[in-house]
Amino acid sequence: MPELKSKELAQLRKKLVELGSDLNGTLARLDVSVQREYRAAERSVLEARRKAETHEGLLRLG
Amino acid sequence: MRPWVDPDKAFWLLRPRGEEDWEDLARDYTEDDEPRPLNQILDVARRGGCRTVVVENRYVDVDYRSEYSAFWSKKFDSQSPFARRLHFFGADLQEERLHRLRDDEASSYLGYSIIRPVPHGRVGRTVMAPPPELATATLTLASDEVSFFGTPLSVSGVPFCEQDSEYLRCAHAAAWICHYTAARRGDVGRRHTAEIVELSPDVLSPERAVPSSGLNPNQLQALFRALGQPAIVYGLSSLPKVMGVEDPVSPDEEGASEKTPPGWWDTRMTSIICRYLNSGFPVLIGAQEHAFVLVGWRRDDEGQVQFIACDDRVGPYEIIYSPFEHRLTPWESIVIPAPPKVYLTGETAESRAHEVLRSMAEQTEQLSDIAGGLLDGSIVLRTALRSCSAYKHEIEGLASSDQILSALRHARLPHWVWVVEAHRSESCGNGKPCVVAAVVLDSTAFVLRPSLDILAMPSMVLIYPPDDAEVVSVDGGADPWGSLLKVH
Repeated sequence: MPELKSKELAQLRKKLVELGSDLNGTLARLDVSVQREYRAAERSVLEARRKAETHEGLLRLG
Repeated sequence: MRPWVDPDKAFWLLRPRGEEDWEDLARDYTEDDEPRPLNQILDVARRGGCRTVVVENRYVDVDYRSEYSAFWSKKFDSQSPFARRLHFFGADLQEERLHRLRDDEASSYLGYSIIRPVPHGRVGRTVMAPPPELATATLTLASDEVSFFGTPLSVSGVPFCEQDSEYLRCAHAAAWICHYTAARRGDVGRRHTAEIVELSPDVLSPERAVPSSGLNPNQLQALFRALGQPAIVYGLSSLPKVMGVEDPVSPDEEGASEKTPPGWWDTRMTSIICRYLNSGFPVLIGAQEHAFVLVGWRRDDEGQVQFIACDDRVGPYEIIYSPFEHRLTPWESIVIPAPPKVYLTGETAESRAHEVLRSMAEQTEQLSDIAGGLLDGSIVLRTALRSCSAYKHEIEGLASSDQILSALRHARLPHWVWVVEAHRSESCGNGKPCVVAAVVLDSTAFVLRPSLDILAMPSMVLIYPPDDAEVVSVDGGADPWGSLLKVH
Protein backbone atom coordinates (compact mmCIF):
# COMPACT_ATOMS: atom_id res chain seq x y z
CA MET A 1 0.00 0.00 0.00
CA PRO A 2 1.40 3.46 -0.89
CA GLU A 3 2.40 5.63 2.07
CA LEU A 4 -0.60 7.57 3.35
CA LYS A 5 -0.66 11.17 4.55
CA SER A 6 -2.37 11.79 7.88
CA LYS A 7 -5.51 13.15 6.20
CA GLU A 8 -5.77 10.08 3.95
CA LEU A 9 -5.16 7.83 6.94
CA ALA A 10 -8.00 9.49 8.84
CA GLN A 11 -10.28 9.01 5.84
CA LEU A 12 -9.28 5.38 5.52
CA ARG A 13 -9.99 4.72 9.20
CA LYS A 14 -13.36 6.44 8.97
CA LYS A 15 -14.29 4.33 5.95
CA LEU A 16 -13.17 1.09 7.58
CA VAL A 17 -15.17 1.82 10.74
CA GLU A 18 -18.20 2.57 8.59
CA LEU A 19 -17.86 -0.64 6.56
CA GLY A 20 -16.79 -2.83 9.46
CA SER A 21 -19.57 -1.68 11.78
CA ASP A 22 -22.15 -2.91 9.32
CA LEU A 23 -20.46 -6.02 7.99
CA ASN A 24 -23.67 -7.60 6.72
CA GLY A 25 -24.48 -4.47 4.72
CA THR A 26 -20.92 -4.35 3.42
CA LEU A 27 -21.10 -7.96 2.29
CA ALA A 28 -24.50 -7.40 0.71
CA ARG A 29 -23.06 -4.61 -1.45
CA LEU A 30 -20.36 -6.92 -2.75
CA ASP A 31 -20.51 -8.14 -6.30
CA VAL A 32 -23.15 -10.87 -6.50
CA SER A 33 -20.68 -13.21 -8.21
CA VAL A 34 -18.42 -13.11 -5.13
CA GLN A 35 -21.34 -13.93 -2.87
CA ARG A 36 -22.15 -16.85 -5.16
CA GLU A 37 -18.52 -17.94 -5.03
CA TYR A 38 -18.65 -18.02 -1.23
CA ARG A 39 -21.90 -20.00 -1.23
CA ALA A 40 -20.42 -22.48 -3.71
CA ALA A 41 -17.28 -22.89 -1.59
CA GLU A 42 -19.29 -23.37 1.59
CA ARG A 43 -21.55 -25.96 -0.13
CA SER A 44 -18.52 -27.80 -1.50
CA VAL A 45 -17.09 -28.23 2.02
CA LEU A 46 -20.34 -29.85 3.16
CA GLU A 47 -20.48 -31.94 0.00
CA ALA A 48 -16.85 -33.05 0.38
CA ARG A 49 -17.48 -34.23 3.90
CA ARG A 50 -20.59 -36.13 2.81
CA LYS A 51 -18.80 -37.82 -0.09
CA ALA A 52 -15.96 -38.92 2.17
CA GLU A 53 -18.40 -41.50 3.49
CA THR A 54 -18.75 -43.20 0.13
CA HIS A 55 -15.77 -44.24 -2.01
CA GLU A 56 -12.84 -43.73 0.33
CA GLY A 57 -14.97 -44.87 3.26
CA LEU A 58 -14.78 -48.47 2.05
CA LEU A 59 -11.01 -48.76 2.23
CA ARG A 60 -9.32 -50.66 5.02
CA LEU A 61 -6.17 -49.18 6.49
CA GLY A 62 -3.83 -51.65 8.02
CA MET B 1 9.67 -66.54 29.65
CA ARG B 2 12.04 -65.52 26.90
CA PRO B 3 15.57 -64.41 27.85
CA TRP B 4 14.95 -60.70 27.50
CA VAL B 5 15.50 -59.25 30.96
CA ASP B 6 19.00 -59.14 32.46
CA PRO B 7 18.34 -59.85 36.15
CA ASP B 8 21.56 -58.16 37.33
CA LYS B 9 21.41 -54.76 35.67
CA ALA B 10 19.26 -51.62 35.82
CA PHE B 11 20.87 -50.25 32.67
CA TRP B 12 23.83 -50.42 30.35
CA LEU B 13 25.50 -47.57 28.58
CA LEU B 14 26.69 -47.33 24.96
CA ARG B 15 28.87 -44.73 23.29
CA PRO B 16 28.30 -45.19 19.55
CA ARG B 17 30.89 -43.27 17.54
CA GLY B 18 30.87 -44.68 14.05
CA GLU B 19 28.61 -46.35 11.50
CA GLU B 20 29.47 -49.80 12.83
CA ASP B 21 28.49 -48.97 16.43
CA TRP B 22 25.08 -47.71 15.30
CA GLU B 23 24.56 -50.76 13.09
CA ASP B 24 25.45 -53.04 16.01
CA LEU B 25 22.86 -51.31 18.18
CA ALA B 26 20.20 -51.67 15.47
CA ARG B 27 21.11 -55.34 14.98
CA ASP B 28 20.40 -56.03 18.66
CA TYR B 29 16.72 -55.50 17.91
CA THR B 30 16.24 -56.28 14.22
CA GLU B 31 16.44 -59.60 12.44
CA ASP B 32 17.84 -58.54 9.10
CA ASP B 33 19.50 -55.60 7.36
CA GLU B 34 16.26 -54.22 5.94
CA PRO B 35 15.73 -50.57 6.95
CA ARG B 36 13.30 -50.52 9.89
CA PRO B 37 11.77 -47.72 11.96
CA LEU B 38 14.44 -48.36 14.59
CA ASN B 39 17.16 -47.55 12.05
CA GLN B 40 15.39 -44.27 11.33
CA ILE B 41 15.19 -43.47 15.07
CA LEU B 42 18.89 -44.18 15.51
CA ASP B 43 19.62 -41.99 12.49
CA VAL B 44 17.57 -39.14 14.02
CA ALA B 45 19.55 -39.53 17.26
CA ARG B 46 22.83 -39.58 15.39
CA ARG B 47 22.01 -36.48 13.36
CA GLY B 48 20.99 -34.75 16.60
CA GLY B 49 24.53 -35.28 17.90
CA CYS B 50 23.94 -38.31 20.15
CA ARG B 51 27.07 -39.47 22.02
CA THR B 52 25.52 -41.66 24.71
CA VAL B 53 22.72 -44.24 24.61
CA VAL B 54 21.46 -45.56 27.94
CA VAL B 55 19.46 -48.79 27.71
CA GLU B 56 17.00 -48.96 30.61
CA ASN B 57 16.49 -52.65 31.40
CA ARG B 58 13.23 -54.27 32.56
CA TYR B 59 11.22 -51.14 31.82
CA VAL B 60 7.49 -51.39 32.64
CA ASP B 61 5.93 -49.44 29.80
CA VAL B 62 2.25 -48.63 30.32
CA ASP B 63 1.46 -49.01 26.61
CA TYR B 64 3.30 -52.27 26.02
CA ARG B 65 2.03 -53.68 29.32
CA SER B 66 -1.53 -52.90 28.18
CA GLU B 67 -0.85 -54.73 24.89
CA TYR B 68 0.69 -57.62 26.81
CA SER B 69 -2.33 -57.94 29.12
CA ALA B 70 -4.85 -57.69 26.30
CA PHE B 71 -3.11 -59.86 23.73
CA TRP B 72 0.42 -61.26 24.15
CA SER B 73 -0.23 -62.88 27.55
CA LYS B 74 -3.02 -64.92 25.96
CA LYS B 75 -0.77 -66.64 23.44
CA PHE B 76 0.57 -70.14 24.08
CA ASP B 77 4.07 -68.97 23.15
CA SER B 78 4.00 -65.80 25.19
CA GLN B 79 6.36 -62.80 25.25
CA SER B 80 8.07 -61.07 28.13
CA PRO B 81 5.89 -58.47 29.89
CA PHE B 82 8.87 -56.10 30.10
CA ALA B 83 10.18 -53.58 27.62
CA ARG B 84 13.44 -51.69 27.32
CA ARG B 85 13.79 -47.95 27.01
CA LEU B 86 16.60 -46.37 25.01
CA HIS B 87 17.57 -42.86 26.16
CA PHE B 88 19.63 -40.68 23.82
CA PHE B 89 21.96 -37.89 25.03
CA GLY B 90 24.17 -35.42 23.25
CA ALA B 91 26.57 -35.35 26.20
CA ASP B 92 29.17 -37.97 27.16
CA LEU B 93 27.59 -39.49 30.27
CA GLN B 94 29.53 -41.42 32.90
CA GLU B 95 28.02 -44.59 34.35
CA GLU B 96 28.80 -43.62 37.91
CA ARG B 97 26.93 -40.31 37.52
CA LEU B 98 23.70 -41.53 35.90
CA HIS B 99 21.77 -41.22 39.16
CA ARG B 100 22.71 -37.53 39.47
CA LEU B 101 22.98 -35.82 36.07
CA ARG B 102 24.39 -32.31 35.80
CA ASP B 103 22.11 -29.67 34.23
CA ASP B 104 24.14 -29.58 31.00
CA GLU B 105 23.88 -33.38 30.73
CA ALA B 106 20.13 -33.31 31.37
CA SER B 107 19.61 -30.54 28.84
CA SER B 108 21.43 -32.60 26.18
CA TYR B 109 18.57 -35.14 26.27
CA LEU B 110 17.46 -36.00 22.72
CA GLY B 111 14.54 -38.30 23.53
CA TYR B 112 13.63 -41.91 24.13
CA SER B 113 12.38 -44.98 22.32
CA ILE B 114 10.74 -48.00 23.91
CA ILE B 115 11.66 -51.41 22.54
CA ARG B 116 9.02 -54.11 22.74
CA PRO B 117 10.02 -57.79 23.11
CA VAL B 118 7.81 -58.85 20.18
CA PRO B 119 8.84 -60.34 16.82
CA HIS B 120 7.41 -57.60 14.58
CA GLY B 121 7.06 -53.97 15.51
CA ARG B 122 9.89 -53.57 17.96
CA VAL B 123 9.42 -49.83 18.39
CA GLY B 124 6.90 -48.70 20.98
CA ARG B 125 6.24 -45.20 22.29
CA THR B 126 8.97 -42.91 21.04
CA VAL B 127 9.52 -39.19 21.29
CA MET B 128 12.71 -37.88 19.67
CA ALA B 129 13.73 -34.25 19.23
CA PRO B 130 13.58 -33.37 15.51
CA PRO B 131 16.90 -33.53 13.65
CA PRO B 132 18.66 -30.17 13.10
CA GLU B 133 17.75 -29.99 9.41
CA LEU B 134 14.07 -29.63 10.39
CA ALA B 135 14.71 -26.58 12.58
CA THR B 136 12.92 -24.33 10.11
CA ALA B 137 9.93 -26.65 9.51
CA THR B 138 6.48 -26.30 11.01
CA LEU B 139 6.04 -29.40 13.20
CA THR B 140 3.18 -30.62 15.39
CA LEU B 141 5.46 -30.93 18.40
CA ALA B 142 4.45 -32.08 21.85
CA SER B 143 6.62 -31.94 24.91
CA ASP B 144 7.08 -35.06 26.97
CA GLU B 145 8.60 -35.69 30.37
CA VAL B 146 10.39 -38.76 31.64
CA SER B 147 11.99 -39.78 34.90
CA PHE B 148 15.54 -40.90 34.18
CA PHE B 149 16.42 -42.87 37.31
CA GLY B 150 14.87 -40.04 39.32
CA THR B 151 16.13 -37.11 37.28
CA PRO B 152 13.27 -35.36 35.44
CA LEU B 153 14.05 -34.88 31.75
CA SER B 154 12.01 -33.32 29.00
CA VAL B 155 11.95 -33.58 25.23
CA SER B 156 9.97 -31.77 22.57
CA GLY B 157 9.24 -33.93 19.56
CA VAL B 158 6.67 -35.76 17.49
CA PRO B 159 5.36 -39.04 18.99
CA PHE B 160 5.91 -42.25 17.05
CA CYS B 161 5.13 -45.94 17.45
CA GLU B 162 5.20 -48.98 15.17
CA GLN B 163 2.47 -51.50 14.45
CA ASP B 164 3.13 -55.10 15.55
CA SER B 165 1.10 -56.56 12.62
CA GLU B 166 -1.14 -58.65 14.90
CA TYR B 167 -2.68 -56.58 17.66
CA LEU B 168 -1.80 -53.04 16.59
CA ARG B 169 -2.06 -52.19 12.91
CA CYS B 170 -0.99 -49.07 11.03
CA ALA B 171 -4.33 -47.36 11.65
CA HIS B 172 -3.97 -47.91 15.41
CA ALA B 173 -0.40 -46.62 15.36
CA ALA B 174 -1.44 -43.58 13.33
CA ALA B 175 -4.41 -42.87 15.61
CA TRP B 176 -2.14 -43.22 18.65
CA ILE B 177 0.30 -40.62 17.23
CA CYS B 178 -2.59 -38.13 16.85
CA HIS B 179 -3.92 -39.04 20.29
CA TYR B 180 -0.64 -38.85 22.19
CA THR B 181 0.11 -35.42 20.69
CA ALA B 182 -3.28 -34.15 21.95
CA ALA B 183 -2.84 -35.85 25.33
CA ARG B 184 0.59 -34.31 25.93
CA ARG B 185 -0.90 -30.89 25.20
CA GLY B 186 -3.68 -31.44 27.71
CA ASP B 187 -6.45 -31.42 25.08
CA VAL B 188 -7.59 -34.97 25.97
CA GLY B 189 -6.88 -37.51 28.72
CA ARG B 190 -4.17 -40.11 28.13
CA ARG B 191 -5.26 -43.53 26.79
CA HIS B 192 -2.87 -46.43 26.43
CA THR B 193 -2.54 -48.43 23.21
CA ALA B 194 -4.79 -51.32 24.28
CA GLU B 195 -7.56 -48.79 24.93
CA ILE B 196 -7.07 -47.49 21.38
CA VAL B 197 -7.77 -51.05 20.14
CA GLU B 198 -10.65 -51.49 22.57
CA LEU B 199 -12.28 -48.22 21.45
CA SER B 200 -12.17 -49.24 17.76
CA PRO B 201 -15.69 -50.60 17.19
CA ASP B 202 -15.70 -54.00 15.49
CA VAL B 203 -19.41 -53.69 14.69
CA LEU B 204 -18.50 -51.36 11.81
CA SER B 205 -16.52 -54.11 10.09
CA PRO B 206 -17.18 -57.74 9.12
CA GLU B 207 -13.66 -58.61 10.34
CA ARG B 208 -12.77 -59.84 13.81
CA ALA B 209 -11.12 -57.17 15.98
CA VAL B 210 -8.19 -59.39 17.06
CA PRO B 211 -5.93 -60.33 15.37
CA SER B 212 -6.53 -57.10 13.55
CA SER B 213 -6.57 -56.66 9.80
CA GLY B 214 -6.76 -52.89 10.08
CA LEU B 215 -9.47 -50.27 10.41
CA ASN B 216 -11.72 -48.67 7.83
CA PRO B 217 -12.35 -44.91 7.96
CA ASN B 218 -15.70 -45.37 9.70
CA GLN B 219 -13.97 -47.30 12.49
CA LEU B 220 -11.27 -44.64 12.63
CA GLN B 221 -13.87 -41.90 12.94
CA ALA B 222 -15.64 -43.80 15.74
CA LEU B 223 -12.28 -44.24 17.46
CA PHE B 224 -11.43 -40.55 17.21
CA ARG B 225 -14.86 -39.61 18.58
CA ALA B 226 -14.27 -41.90 21.55
CA LEU B 227 -10.86 -40.32 22.07
CA GLY B 228 -12.41 -36.83 22.16
CA GLN B 229 -10.97 -35.86 18.77
CA PRO B 230 -13.77 -36.20 16.19
CA ALA B 231 -12.14 -36.04 12.78
CA ILE B 232 -12.73 -33.89 9.74
CA VAL B 233 -12.55 -36.35 6.84
CA TYR B 234 -11.97 -35.53 3.18
CA GLY B 235 -11.74 -38.00 0.31
CA LEU B 236 -9.33 -36.96 -2.45
CA SER B 237 -12.10 -37.61 -4.98
CA SER B 238 -14.11 -34.66 -3.65
CA LEU B 239 -11.95 -31.98 -2.07
CA PRO B 240 -13.73 -28.73 -1.24
CA LYS B 241 -13.42 -25.47 -3.11
CA VAL B 242 -11.85 -22.65 -1.15
CA MET B 243 -12.06 -19.05 -2.33
CA GLY B 244 -8.68 -17.82 -3.54
CA VAL B 245 -7.29 -21.35 -3.94
CA GLU B 246 -6.95 -22.49 -7.52
CA ASP B 247 -9.15 -25.44 -8.53
CA PRO B 248 -6.88 -27.78 -10.50
CA VAL B 249 -8.12 -29.39 -13.68
CA SER B 250 -8.06 -33.15 -14.13
CA PRO B 251 -5.46 -34.24 -16.70
CA ASP B 252 -8.03 -36.57 -18.29
CA GLU B 253 -9.63 -35.75 -21.59
CA GLU B 254 -13.37 -35.26 -21.53
CA GLY B 255 -15.16 -38.60 -21.68
CA ALA B 256 -12.05 -40.60 -20.82
CA SER B 257 -13.09 -44.08 -19.73
CA GLU B 258 -10.50 -44.33 -16.96
CA LYS B 259 -9.97 -41.40 -14.64
CA THR B 260 -6.64 -40.44 -13.15
CA PRO B 261 -7.05 -40.58 -9.37
CA PRO B 262 -7.02 -37.05 -7.84
CA GLY B 263 -4.16 -38.13 -5.58
CA TRP B 264 -1.95 -37.68 -8.67
CA TRP B 265 -2.98 -34.12 -9.47
CA ASP B 266 -5.32 -32.36 -7.00
CA THR B 267 -3.08 -29.63 -5.57
CA ARG B 268 -5.79 -28.47 -3.13
CA MET B 269 -4.76 -31.23 -0.76
CA THR B 270 -1.58 -29.30 0.05
CA SER B 271 -3.35 -26.20 1.34
CA ILE B 272 -5.93 -28.30 3.24
CA ILE B 273 -3.23 -30.31 5.00
CA CYS B 274 -1.13 -27.21 5.78
CA ARG B 275 -4.09 -25.44 7.46
CA TYR B 276 -4.22 -28.17 10.09
CA LEU B 277 -0.47 -28.63 10.43
CA ASN B 278 -0.26 -24.85 10.96
CA SER B 279 -2.77 -25.40 13.74
CA GLY B 280 -0.52 -27.97 15.42
CA PHE B 281 -2.71 -30.98 14.56
CA PRO B 282 -1.20 -34.09 12.93
CA VAL B 283 -3.02 -35.15 9.74
CA LEU B 284 -3.67 -38.83 9.04
CA ILE B 285 -3.38 -39.91 5.41
CA GLY B 286 -5.02 -43.02 3.97
CA ALA B 287 -3.20 -44.34 0.88
CA GLN B 288 -2.95 -47.75 -0.76
CA GLU B 289 -4.57 -49.45 2.24
CA HIS B 290 -2.02 -47.92 4.59
CA ALA B 291 -2.32 -45.12 7.16
CA PHE B 292 0.45 -42.74 8.12
CA VAL B 293 0.59 -39.34 9.74
CA LEU B 294 1.84 -35.99 8.45
CA VAL B 295 3.41 -34.08 11.31
CA GLY B 296 4.90 -31.05 9.60
CA TRP B 297 5.78 -29.16 6.48
CA ARG B 298 8.42 -26.85 5.07
CA ARG B 299 9.36 -25.20 1.78
CA ASP B 300 12.30 -26.20 -0.36
CA ASP B 301 14.64 -23.66 -1.99
CA GLU B 302 12.15 -23.16 -4.81
CA GLY B 303 9.21 -22.60 -2.49
CA GLN B 304 7.64 -26.02 -3.07
CA VAL B 305 5.91 -27.65 -0.09
CA GLN B 306 7.49 -30.75 1.44
CA PHE B 307 5.77 -32.76 4.16
CA ILE B 308 7.28 -34.40 7.23
CA ALA B 309 5.70 -37.76 8.11
CA CYS B 310 5.61 -40.35 10.85
CA ASP B 311 4.94 -43.59 9.00
CA ASP B 312 5.00 -46.70 11.18
CA ARG B 313 6.73 -48.60 8.36
CA VAL B 314 9.47 -45.97 8.06
CA GLY B 315 9.99 -44.16 11.37
CA PRO B 316 9.70 -40.58 12.58
CA TYR B 317 10.55 -37.47 10.55
CA GLU B 318 10.41 -38.95 7.06
CA ILE B 319 10.63 -36.17 4.47
CA ILE B 320 8.07 -36.43 1.67
CA TYR B 321 9.37 -34.28 -1.16
CA SER B 322 6.04 -34.18 -2.97
CA PRO B 323 2.67 -35.84 -2.31
CA PHE B 324 2.56 -36.55 -6.05
CA GLU B 325 5.86 -38.45 -6.04
CA HIS B 326 5.55 -40.46 -2.84
CA ARG B 327 5.84 -44.24 -2.78
CA LEU B 328 2.15 -44.39 -1.74
CA THR B 329 0.83 -41.92 -4.33
CA PRO B 330 -2.08 -41.61 -5.02
CA TRP B 331 -3.19 -40.63 -1.54
CA GLU B 332 -6.89 -41.32 -1.01
CA SER B 333 -8.14 -39.71 2.19
CA ILE B 334 -7.27 -36.98 4.66
CA VAL B 335 -8.38 -37.49 8.27
CA ILE B 336 -7.89 -34.63 10.71
CA PRO B 337 -8.65 -35.36 14.38
CA ALA B 338 -9.68 -32.04 15.90
CA PRO B 339 -11.13 -30.67 19.15
CA PRO B 340 -14.89 -31.38 19.40
CA LYS B 341 -15.86 -27.71 19.57
CA VAL B 342 -14.26 -26.82 16.26
CA TYR B 343 -17.50 -26.83 14.27
CA LEU B 344 -16.18 -24.61 11.50
CA THR B 345 -13.60 -26.11 9.15
CA GLY B 346 -10.46 -24.24 8.17
CA GLU B 347 -11.74 -24.31 4.60
CA THR B 348 -14.98 -22.47 5.39
CA ALA B 349 -13.15 -20.03 7.67
CA GLU B 350 -10.72 -19.15 4.87
CA SER B 351 -13.48 -18.68 2.29
CA ARG B 352 -15.39 -16.45 4.68
CA ALA B 353 -12.28 -14.37 5.36
CA HIS B 354 -11.68 -14.04 1.62
CA GLU B 355 -15.23 -12.80 1.13
CA VAL B 356 -14.98 -10.27 3.97
CA LEU B 357 -11.57 -8.94 2.98
CA ARG B 358 -12.54 -8.55 -0.65
CA SER B 359 -15.74 -6.85 0.35
CA MET B 360 -13.93 -4.36 2.62
CA ALA B 361 -11.07 -3.73 0.18
CA GLU B 362 -13.24 -3.32 -2.92
CA GLN B 363 -15.30 -0.66 -1.19
CA THR B 364 -12.28 1.29 0.08
CA GLU B 365 -10.34 3.24 -2.53
CA GLN B 366 -7.02 3.17 -0.63
CA LEU B 367 -7.18 -0.64 -0.35
CA SER B 368 -7.73 -1.41 -4.01
CA ASP B 369 -4.32 -3.14 -4.13
CA ILE B 370 -5.54 -5.65 -1.54
CA ALA B 371 -8.71 -6.31 -3.53
CA GLY B 372 -6.62 -6.76 -6.68
CA GLY B 373 -4.06 -8.92 -4.89
CA LEU B 374 -6.74 -11.30 -3.62
CA LEU B 375 -7.95 -11.68 -7.20
CA ASP B 376 -4.61 -12.04 -8.99
CA GLY B 377 -3.02 -14.26 -6.32
CA SER B 378 -0.30 -11.81 -5.20
CA ILE B 379 -2.07 -11.77 -1.83
CA VAL B 380 -2.78 -15.25 -0.43
CA LEU B 381 -4.62 -16.35 2.68
CA ARG B 382 -2.98 -18.54 5.33
CA THR B 383 -5.13 -20.14 8.01
CA ALA B 384 -4.52 -21.74 11.39
CA LEU B 385 -6.52 -22.67 14.45
CA ARG B 386 -5.32 -21.26 17.74
CA SER B 387 -6.59 -21.53 21.27
CA CYS B 388 -7.66 -18.12 22.49
CA SER B 389 -4.87 -18.08 25.06
CA ALA B 390 -2.20 -19.09 22.51
CA TYR B 391 -3.43 -16.41 20.11
CA LYS B 392 -3.33 -13.72 22.78
CA HIS B 393 0.15 -14.85 23.78
CA GLU B 394 1.54 -14.97 20.24
CA ILE B 395 0.30 -11.54 19.14
CA GLU B 396 2.49 -9.74 21.65
CA GLY B 397 5.32 -9.23 19.19
CA LEU B 398 3.01 -8.52 16.25
CA ALA B 399 0.62 -5.80 17.45
CA SER B 400 1.66 -2.39 16.11
CA SER B 401 0.90 -0.55 19.37
CA ASP B 402 0.27 -1.19 23.02
CA GLN B 403 -3.28 0.10 22.54
CA ILE B 404 -3.99 -2.61 19.95
CA LEU B 405 -2.37 -5.30 22.08
CA SER B 406 -4.53 -4.23 25.03
CA ALA B 407 -7.72 -4.31 22.95
CA LEU B 408 -6.91 -7.74 21.46
CA ARG B 409 -5.92 -9.26 24.77
CA HIS B 410 -9.10 -7.98 26.44
CA ALA B 411 -11.30 -9.24 23.59
CA ARG B 412 -13.78 -11.90 24.68
CA LEU B 413 -13.04 -14.85 22.42
CA PRO B 414 -14.12 -18.51 22.25
CA HIS B 415 -11.70 -21.23 23.34
CA TRP B 416 -10.65 -21.96 19.73
CA VAL B 417 -10.42 -19.35 16.98
CA TRP B 418 -9.53 -19.57 13.30
CA VAL B 419 -6.93 -16.98 12.39
CA VAL B 420 -6.80 -16.15 8.68
CA GLU B 421 -3.93 -13.92 7.58
CA ALA B 422 -3.66 -12.18 4.20
CA HIS B 423 -0.03 -12.43 3.08
CA ARG B 424 1.67 -10.40 0.40
CA SER B 425 3.44 -13.43 -1.06
CA GLU B 426 6.46 -11.55 -2.47
CA SER B 427 7.37 -10.46 1.08
CA CYS B 428 7.00 -13.95 2.59
CA GLY B 429 10.19 -15.33 1.09
CA ASN B 430 12.47 -12.44 2.03
CA GLY B 431 11.66 -12.27 5.72
CA LYS B 432 9.84 -8.92 5.57
CA PRO B 433 6.56 -8.39 7.47
CA CYS B 434 4.02 -9.75 5.01
CA VAL B 435 0.59 -9.68 6.66
CA VAL B 436 -1.63 -6.93 5.27
CA ALA B 437 -4.91 -7.96 6.89
CA ALA B 438 -6.25 -10.66 9.20
CA VAL B 439 -9.57 -12.11 10.25
CA VAL B 440 -10.26 -14.03 13.45
CA LEU B 441 -13.36 -16.24 13.41
CA ASP B 442 -15.29 -18.08 16.07
CA SER B 443 -14.64 -21.82 15.59
CA THR B 444 -18.11 -22.62 16.96
CA ALA B 445 -19.84 -20.29 14.46
CA PHE B 446 -22.68 -21.41 12.20
CA VAL B 447 -21.29 -22.56 8.89
CA LEU B 448 -23.78 -20.61 6.76
CA ARG B 449 -22.74 -17.21 8.11
CA PRO B 450 -19.67 -17.51 10.32
CA SER B 451 -19.32 -14.50 12.57
CA LEU B 452 -16.12 -12.52 12.97
CA ASP B 453 -14.37 -11.87 16.25
CA ILE B 454 -11.62 -9.59 14.96
CA LEU B 455 -10.89 -7.85 11.68
CA ALA B 456 -7.45 -6.28 11.28
CA MET B 457 -6.94 -4.02 8.26
CA PRO B 458 -4.22 -1.49 7.44
CA SER B 459 -4.63 1.41 9.93
CA MET B 460 -7.43 -0.16 11.94
CA VAL B 461 -8.43 -3.12 14.10
CA LEU B 462 -12.11 -3.87 14.68
CA ILE B 463 -13.23 -6.17 17.47
CA TYR B 464 -16.70 -7.72 17.45
CA PRO B 465 -17.68 -8.54 21.03
CA PRO B 466 -20.37 -11.12 21.87
CA ASP B 467 -23.81 -10.31 23.27
CA ASP B 468 -24.55 -7.61 20.65
CA ALA B 469 -22.13 -5.19 22.27
CA GLU B 470 -20.82 -2.24 20.25
CA VAL B 471 -18.02 -2.88 17.77
CA VAL B 472 -14.67 -1.74 19.22
CA SER B 473 -12.34 0.09 16.83
CA VAL B 474 -8.70 0.83 17.53
CA ASP B 475 -6.39 2.89 15.33
CA GLY B 476 -3.23 1.15 14.19
CA GLY B 477 -0.37 1.55 11.74
CA ALA B 478 -0.80 1.12 8.00
CA ASP B 479 2.30 -1.04 7.53
CA PRO B 480 2.25 -4.87 7.16
CA TRP B 481 3.02 -6.92 10.25
CA GLY B 482 4.57 -10.33 10.95
CA SER B 483 2.84 -13.69 10.73
CA LEU B 484 1.85 -16.05 13.52
CA LEU B 485 3.08 -18.89 11.32
CA LYS B 486 6.61 -20.25 11.29
CA VAL B 487 6.46 -21.29 7.64
CA HIS B 488 4.13 -19.61 5.16
